[in-house]
Amino acid sequence: MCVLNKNNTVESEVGTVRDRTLFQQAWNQFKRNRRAMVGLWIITALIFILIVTIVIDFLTDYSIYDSFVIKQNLRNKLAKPSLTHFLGCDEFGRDLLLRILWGTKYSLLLGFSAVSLSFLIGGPFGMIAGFYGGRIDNVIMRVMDVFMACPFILLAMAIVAALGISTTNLLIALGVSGMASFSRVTRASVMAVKDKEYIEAARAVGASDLRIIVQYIFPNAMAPILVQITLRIGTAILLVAGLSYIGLGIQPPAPEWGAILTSAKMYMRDAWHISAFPGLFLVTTVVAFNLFGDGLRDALDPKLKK
Amino acid sequence: MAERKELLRVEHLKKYFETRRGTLFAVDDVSFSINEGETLGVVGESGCGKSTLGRAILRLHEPTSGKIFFNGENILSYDKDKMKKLRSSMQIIFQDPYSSLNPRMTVSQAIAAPLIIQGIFRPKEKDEIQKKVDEMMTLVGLAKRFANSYPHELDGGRRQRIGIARALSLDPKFIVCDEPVSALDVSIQAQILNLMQELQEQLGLTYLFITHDLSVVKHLSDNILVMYLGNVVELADSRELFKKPLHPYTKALLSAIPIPDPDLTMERILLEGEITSPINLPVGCRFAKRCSLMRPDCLTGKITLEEIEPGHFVACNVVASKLN
Amino acid sequence: MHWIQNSKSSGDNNLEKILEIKNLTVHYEIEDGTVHALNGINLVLEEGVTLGLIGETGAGKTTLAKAIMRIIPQPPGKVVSGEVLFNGTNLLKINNAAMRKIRGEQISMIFQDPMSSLNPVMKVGDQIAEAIKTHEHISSVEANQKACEMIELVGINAERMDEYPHQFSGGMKQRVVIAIALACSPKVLIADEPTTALDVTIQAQVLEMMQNIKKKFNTATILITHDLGIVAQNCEKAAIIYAGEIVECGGTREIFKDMRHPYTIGLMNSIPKIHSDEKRLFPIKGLMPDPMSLPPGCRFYERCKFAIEKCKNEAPEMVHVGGEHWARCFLVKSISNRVE
Repeated sequence: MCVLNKNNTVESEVGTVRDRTLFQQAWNQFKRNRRAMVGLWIITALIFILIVTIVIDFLTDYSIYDSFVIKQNLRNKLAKPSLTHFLGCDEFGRDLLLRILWGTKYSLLLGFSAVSLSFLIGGPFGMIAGFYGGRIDNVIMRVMDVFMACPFILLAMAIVAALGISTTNLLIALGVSGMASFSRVTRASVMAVKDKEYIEAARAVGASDLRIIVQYIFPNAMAPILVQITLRIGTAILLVAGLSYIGLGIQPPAPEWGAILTSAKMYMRDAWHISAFPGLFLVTTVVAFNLFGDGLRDALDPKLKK
Repeated sequence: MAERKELLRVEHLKKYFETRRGTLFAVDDVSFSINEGETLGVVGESGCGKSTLGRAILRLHEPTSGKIFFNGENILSYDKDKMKKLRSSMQIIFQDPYSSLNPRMTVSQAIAAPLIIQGIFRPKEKDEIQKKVDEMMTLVGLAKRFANSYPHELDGGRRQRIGIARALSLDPKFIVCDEPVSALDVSIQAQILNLMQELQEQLGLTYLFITHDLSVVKHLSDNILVMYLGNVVELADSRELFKKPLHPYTKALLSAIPIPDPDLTMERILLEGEITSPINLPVGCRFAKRCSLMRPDCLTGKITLEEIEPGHFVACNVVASKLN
Repeated sequence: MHWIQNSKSSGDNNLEKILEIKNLTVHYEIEDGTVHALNGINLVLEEGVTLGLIGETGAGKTTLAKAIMRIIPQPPGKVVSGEVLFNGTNLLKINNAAMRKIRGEQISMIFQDPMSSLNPVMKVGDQIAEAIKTHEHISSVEANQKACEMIELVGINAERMDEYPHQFSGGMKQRVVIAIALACSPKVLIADEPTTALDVTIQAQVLEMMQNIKKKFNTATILITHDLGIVAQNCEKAAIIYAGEIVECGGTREIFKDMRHPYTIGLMNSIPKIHSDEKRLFPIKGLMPDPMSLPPGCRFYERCKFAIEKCKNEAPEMVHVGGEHWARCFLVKSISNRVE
């Protein structure tokens, strides 16, 4: 298909070259993808909820949290959804909607931190392996292979079991178990860029290895990594919920979605609402991140392919 | 005309790559010299080693053995710092205008990058940098309004001009041009070739012009080097090579070029077979299997580059014996 | 080295028209606007004749090839008007099944990049046989036999039938591609830059092989290229395409000896020629116009050194120069690069 780049301007046209930065161009492309925008809106809503809950806790010194989210109110035990309690109440009579809203911060913050940790550990290894190749590449990748050989949940369980149950340890477990795949993606990304001629051009002018990695390779290798990060956040959120579900993550009475689901499973027949709504929020969040990640990849890739 | 000074001399340059299947003799014992302000055309087909040669001279690939003299000094003995400083005198223009520019850098940034890397300007000195960038853009015929454009917004011809501007920003004396017009449209090729010729005259540049297209190199080169599978098969003055090619491969190469005149055809010499792999090459002449003049001793003896006529070197036993 | 004078006969003028393109206009509708890829193309191809279609990037030559084969994705492509007559039948109006029968059997196409034209996980012999079996109802054994013959015809040893594409070099792969295209003896072959990716000595071999096959099968060919030399040496007729229009066409000799369109003249002057001595090349200034915003008058106006005021707003029609030679320019009668 012979479609010319629209910017193939003729000499006589004046001032028609658009001065947009690469970010703006990617954003324009992203905006056109309706599904990706839906994902973005949902994520924005969740972040909003996150900020609001944290601010309220800070301003009220956790008093609202204590009285509405934690405190038990057995009169309302297993109440069905109604006008006073939109999503009903859980087995301890606590308003489910409020618990779910307050649980947002765990999923989002932990998901994001875990993935960042994976990237911060795995990324540099992958970059070094990809850039230098040879024996260094071999050693690093074989170590990563060992990590990848362990089923994720088992690895996370092992780490938490060894270090004890706490939020920090949960973070470490998630971070370490995810680093192998990040190192792979980074390595592949770096290898794709490393042999391009503009890297040779930089070398021909005397650029050092460090400068080449930071200024030339990294910005160009980032696109696949960014996509990987957003897609992995969805997975990480599910894993946080999963670990909490089996009791190794966030402990009750904290309203983490997985933790809510653990206790809800006993009441599924009579009080389906306690399983359904947190589950729905979980699914929506993960799907939102996936849509966002897909949109991001589409917005970034075609331009880079040129 | 004043005697031109020798700027670059290459002696017995070799670059081998070790691969899983054996040794790749990319550049195998190449020697030549170029005088200041002149152009040496290096011609050959796939696998002949011309691109590796260009990069080896700039030490982008470290040569396996041999000597490279730039302004009289053997640059293979330079340490990292001296080499970095030398780079501002020896530059390269690449073939593919699409992959030779960093997609994340604007035109200005790409042209300014060498200046910052070499420490000529500091990143803070935005005005001085901009002035130099403007100067370079004007020199290569790029309109100022493209200063903040990204490479993917421009066509091949303009991108190549950016590559040229980048190479010139350090005021080099010597430039390796690796197939600089092969990826461009025919009408744009002429623009860029003219530009390169003008720049050479204006700035006194010395070119090593690598190409597979003999017609492109004809009027631009003073001398031409023909390569085949890592060896030099013929080296002569440009005019002389076209008028009187001696090596059978050169003759075949010339005759294969389709002439844009329906009434004329070159005395066609069609080669048999394919170019063999440059890995684990046999002894003797590498062209022998495809050569119509092949004799038994072509496959066993060592073939050397001999000066058959003044300034005209050929690496062929048969030709050498005929003319002696 | 010396050059031999060719004594080519002027050719038989009473040949059957096998492919006739009338007023073909093709657009692409994309987000940013409409790309006017082809605008009123008129072309005639006779039996057994090789027509060289010369054009640069963006001129529309690949779109034209794909339009004939009806492989333009619609959307975003759209055939706005025109006819593609193959033996009198308008290919644009027949149904998909009928067109599939024609593709590969009556009209074949080969593409530029031999690396991506072949299926990497299928043996070469099988790919040729598959082309045969798709169109002819013969047994596998017979198809393989035919495939063997084809592969030998293109200059590859039949022993290599069972090898995979990656075991062949670029030139050899292109030969296989040609074998597949010609396996069913099509009447028309469209070759889109078939030798651009090949080394020049290999290119000469492949073109020579194509000439021999053409003589044997009497296949009419549209040879798409940007190389004037290839057209001069291999084609009886030529057409130059610029910004979606044919700007000059006719017999090859007629055109090369007496170029009338400024673009053709400009192209000729901008290529380095080994058979003449020149100090400088004369490039055509500027770039091809954006097909999304074509100028109202002559498409070449901005870059033309012969342009007059009329050219800016009026689009020229084809003017008869002589014989089969036509050129799209107001100044046809006064311009020429005539060589004595």
